[in-house]
Amino acid sequence: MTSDSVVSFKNVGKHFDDNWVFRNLSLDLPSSQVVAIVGESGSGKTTLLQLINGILRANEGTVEVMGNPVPESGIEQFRRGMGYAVQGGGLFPHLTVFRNVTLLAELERWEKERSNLRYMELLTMVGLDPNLKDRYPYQLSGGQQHRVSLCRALMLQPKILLLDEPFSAIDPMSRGEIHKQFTELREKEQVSAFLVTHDLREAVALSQYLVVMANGDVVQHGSTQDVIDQPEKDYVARLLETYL
Amino acid sequence: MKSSSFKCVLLLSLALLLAPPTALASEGTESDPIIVASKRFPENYLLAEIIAQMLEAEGFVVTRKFGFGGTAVCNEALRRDEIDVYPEYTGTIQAVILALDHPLTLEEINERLASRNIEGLPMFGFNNTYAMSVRRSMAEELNLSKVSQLVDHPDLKFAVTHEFLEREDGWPKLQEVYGLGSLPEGMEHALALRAIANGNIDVTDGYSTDAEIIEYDLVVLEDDRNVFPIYMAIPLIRSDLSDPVKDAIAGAAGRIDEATMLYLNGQVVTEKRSFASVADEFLASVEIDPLSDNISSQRGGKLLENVVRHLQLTGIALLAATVIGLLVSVAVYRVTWLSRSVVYVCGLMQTIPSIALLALMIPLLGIGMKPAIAALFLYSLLPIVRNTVISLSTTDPLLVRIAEAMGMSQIERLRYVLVPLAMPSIFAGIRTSAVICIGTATLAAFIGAGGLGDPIVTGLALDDTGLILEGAIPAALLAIATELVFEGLERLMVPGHLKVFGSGKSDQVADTT
Repeated sequence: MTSDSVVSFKNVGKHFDDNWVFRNLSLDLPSSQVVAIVGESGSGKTTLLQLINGILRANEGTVEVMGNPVPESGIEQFRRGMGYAVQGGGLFPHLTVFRNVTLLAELERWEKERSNLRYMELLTMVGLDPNLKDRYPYQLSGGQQHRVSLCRALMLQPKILLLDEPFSAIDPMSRGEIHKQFTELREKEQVSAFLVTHDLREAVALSQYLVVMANGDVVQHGSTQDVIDQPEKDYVARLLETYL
Repeated sequence: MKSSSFKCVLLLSLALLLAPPTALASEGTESDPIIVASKRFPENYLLAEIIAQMLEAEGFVVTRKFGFGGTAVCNEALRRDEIDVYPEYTGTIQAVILALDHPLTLEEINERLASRNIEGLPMFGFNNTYAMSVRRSMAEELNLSKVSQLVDHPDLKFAVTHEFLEREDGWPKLQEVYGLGSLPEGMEHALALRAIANGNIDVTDGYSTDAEIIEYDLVVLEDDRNVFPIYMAIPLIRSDLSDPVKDAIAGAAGRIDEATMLYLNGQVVTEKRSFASVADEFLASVEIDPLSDNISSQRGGKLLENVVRHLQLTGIALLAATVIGLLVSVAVYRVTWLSRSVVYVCGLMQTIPSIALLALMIPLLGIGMKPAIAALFLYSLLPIVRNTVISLSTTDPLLVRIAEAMGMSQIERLRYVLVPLAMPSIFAGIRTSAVICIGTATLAAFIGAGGLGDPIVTGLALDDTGLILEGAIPAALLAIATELVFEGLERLMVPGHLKVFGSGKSDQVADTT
């Protein structure tokens, strides 16, 4: 593990039934940055993300987070140290905006005052009116739902944020704005974000570090600028040509 | 706010349910009341009432548990010391209780019953045997007077009671000896009498002292090959009753002949008088003076008591089914084969006819409220378990994964995500169970559990529509009230847009996948 790496994959193998998604995968991912993981559908990028919070378990090798292997017991506390947001928002339809965002704080027995303050802070940062608190998800627009989802992921001030195509269902007009808010928010919160996306342009716009995956292999990884400037393989070059 | 008012409602209903659980207390010692029971047909009610009043005349305290659902129930209750006495017939004892195919004297009966702590007291004096009867008009038209002539008219429609259909000295023997054709329909006696009067059926079984023979203008066909055994009415008692009690019960021995019984039955069935007043009149005529202060001329009139009992039966059963159903569902929903098996087993319970399930409970739990609650509990499980299992196992997998990834434990996921999302379905299941419960609980009267089934059962036995409605209308109102209560509870606990029968906003729920 390099000094500033927050997530390390060491000879990791993962299979579903008889199909190996990847084997012998070793990768150190740096902290305090946005790491984008790009690749086509089925390249293994979502699997990679879910190995980090233990939703999936490696069949071979180890996944280390901040120097320690993903724990077997106490996984709930471990996961609460990581925010998680997905495509479409995935808000709980039976809870109001306020309770969606503050549910984990409630489980952590935060003081009401502290929850309220954090809620106000987060909603303001993503440009939402905190007075939406009593609305239910169905009463929000798609863009609003994504912002709320981001706030929910950040509620407990996690050190790590896992994002699985969080912006892909948003129309291109609002995507630019939400990208900008996300960048500001991440810097302010000082959180290491791991962003899975199939949209190379989004990856380039948001990330400082890029992992390109294809067919269960890491084809190239490095600082986003380096990958753009010096594609190591034909695949990466073609990918860059097609999308940028 | 919401959850605290819900808790209040819950506590209140619990208190109401558990308030007067007198019927759950057990009986047994000498000073306890003598429990007089009856089967559910007028003559048996009347004989039981006569026994009760004779006991009261001698100063004993009596508890009446009338309207049990048949010989098996009464006999089982007697063996289990749940009742002390009920009127029975020698032919029934021989064929049903002792399963013998030759007639017995009372002495022979008592020799055989001694080991069961059961004893027959001297006969009332009349023979109430089975009788096949037809409409008088049809009898004259077809020149019918004997059972043996029925074989010449294969197109006649038969309907007999279920008990007659099954018991060896009933239909099977009749069919064998007289060579009668296909199996008749099984029908409640009171309903069969209406059907024969209306011409829907032509031949039914009955008893030779049935008041309906006169009322419906029927003709009893002569049993010309002596198929039917002798059915002398006797009080059947627990043999460990004290001698004064036995003497009091035997007070009417030899004093009721066929003509008297036909008259008394007619007073109750045709003249619509109460059992108590007819029994009182009879006892006065034979100079046994009952304590007449508690003789009621009303047949029903226990509405509040019946409603409260009905609510207790259904409430306790439903509460237990909800708690256990939810726990079981939560425990098994993630294992497909297990949850399927559980739902199948619950479904199996539903296929057992209510009366049969109630009867099956008697050997395990005796009579009264306990077996009735157990049976209702089993009936209530299916809707709750099925709805809960299905809605828990079909929760949007994305939401389940997010809850897991957020760091919620299994229990927290259930409490904050899965169960609230399943709530509308769970509520629908409980509502269905509640309505099934209220309906089925009317049958609990057959095993002495009381409730709104009491006036229905008595009304059926007496062919008294007013009395049937006295149970049926409150039961229907109760079902509607239950729906309203659950609607209110659902409003408190489930956000509008998630309701099954809600405000129609569900189409606007954001697509979260």
